[in-house]
Amino acid sequence: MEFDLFSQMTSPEIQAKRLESQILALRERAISYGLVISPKDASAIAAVGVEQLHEQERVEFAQSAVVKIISKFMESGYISQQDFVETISELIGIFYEVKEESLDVLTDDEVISAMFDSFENVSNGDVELLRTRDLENLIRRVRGLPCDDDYDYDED
Amino acid sequence: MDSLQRQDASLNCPEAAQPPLGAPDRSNYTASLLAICSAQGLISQEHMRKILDELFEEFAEIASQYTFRESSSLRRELAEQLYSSVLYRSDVYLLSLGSDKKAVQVLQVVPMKRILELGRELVLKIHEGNRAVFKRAYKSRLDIAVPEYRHVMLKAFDRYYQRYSGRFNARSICTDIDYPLMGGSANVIEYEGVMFIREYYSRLALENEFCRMFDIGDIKKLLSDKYGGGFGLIGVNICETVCRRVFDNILLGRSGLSLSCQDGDVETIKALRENVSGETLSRAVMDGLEAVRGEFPNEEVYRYIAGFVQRYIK
Repeated sequence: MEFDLFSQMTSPEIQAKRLESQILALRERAISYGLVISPKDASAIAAVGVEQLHEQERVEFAQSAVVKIISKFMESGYISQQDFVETISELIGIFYEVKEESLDVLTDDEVISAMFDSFENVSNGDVELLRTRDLENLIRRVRGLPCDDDYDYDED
Repeated sequence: MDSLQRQDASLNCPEAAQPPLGAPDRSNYTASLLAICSAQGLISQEHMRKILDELFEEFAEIASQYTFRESSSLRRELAEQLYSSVLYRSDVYLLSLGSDKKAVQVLQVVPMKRILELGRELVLKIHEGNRAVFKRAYKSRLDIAVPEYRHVMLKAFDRYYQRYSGRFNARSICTDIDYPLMGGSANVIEYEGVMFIREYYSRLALENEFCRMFDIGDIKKLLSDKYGGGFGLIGVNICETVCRRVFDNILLGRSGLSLSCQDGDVETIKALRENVSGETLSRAVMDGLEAVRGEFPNEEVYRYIAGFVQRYIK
């Protein structure tokens, strides 16, 4: 008799519910940065987080990286209420992409810290640049491959 | 509500309250039992949720330890391995109770967290105990060049003992064991992890001890006559080959336990099998074994060898 306990406990519905409540717990802190996280926002972000986990074939077991991402990026001056959900959703996608591509060598905090640093100081809040240029370089470095920065350096 | 009532009733009089259980899968015991309990309403949905939550909590802790608490997610394949490792601890404890009914009663009343603690202790205890089990098999090992046999006697156990992880991969034996047991491949053992190793080397010890009753040169000659050498020996179980010859000789009326072979033996045995009922042949072999019961190194070996008679007759 098939009884897949693990699939039951990691079903998208259960993961989304778990994540939603973790996101909503950030509401008070968000307010201090001038951001409001509505239940609808929490639900939308949670859905993206779960979708990304599914896409990257990963399972979350501790406090979600999504919560860590929101918690860190709400400090950014480039994030406003207007594009909060959209930007966070894109950042979640980037996070899991880097995590997977870096073969899990980087910790959650290292990835988020690198993302935040680039977002604030290099990409200046441009998510597209963050994804295509800065984090691509970060992944290549972690994997020991040459990256754009290295070429620039050689040319100089 | 109905299931809750059934649960309460079962605590008072478990034997009477529970319907007969289906046959749970011993290689995935806890999950299998929970499936049966769920289908038969032996555990309430609320209690089932609590069990699953506690399993997940333990998995989360093990996964956190695995990532040094530096990652919140893992690749699914690895996560499944860790979860299975947690579940294995429960399997080992529940299997140690010796009956499916007792295991169900424990699932009904003992918190999963506690079951996992008891399971962890038991896994470690069995792992440690496996050294003694292996030593017994090693002590009676046969100097015979069957490659798979030599591997399980000389290398496989050390590899298992050094690599086994009761925390992160408890279900795996972390080594390769290809030498078959008497009557079939090692896969006939329905356990995994430390329990598989215990069972496998326990049986191998009995097989070795039986074979040690014979001259090693005679066993080598028997193998060589029957299978040649090299590739011919792949998949051959030494004890089974010995046993079959001994049983043949019993049927041929030769006294004692003998590996002798004479011209015409094969044809005579063939004729016996064709003309005499299986039941009669079986009884004849059992009687022959009983006559030399005292010669066996111990009662365990006798029972193990006698247990092969039915298969030999078939």
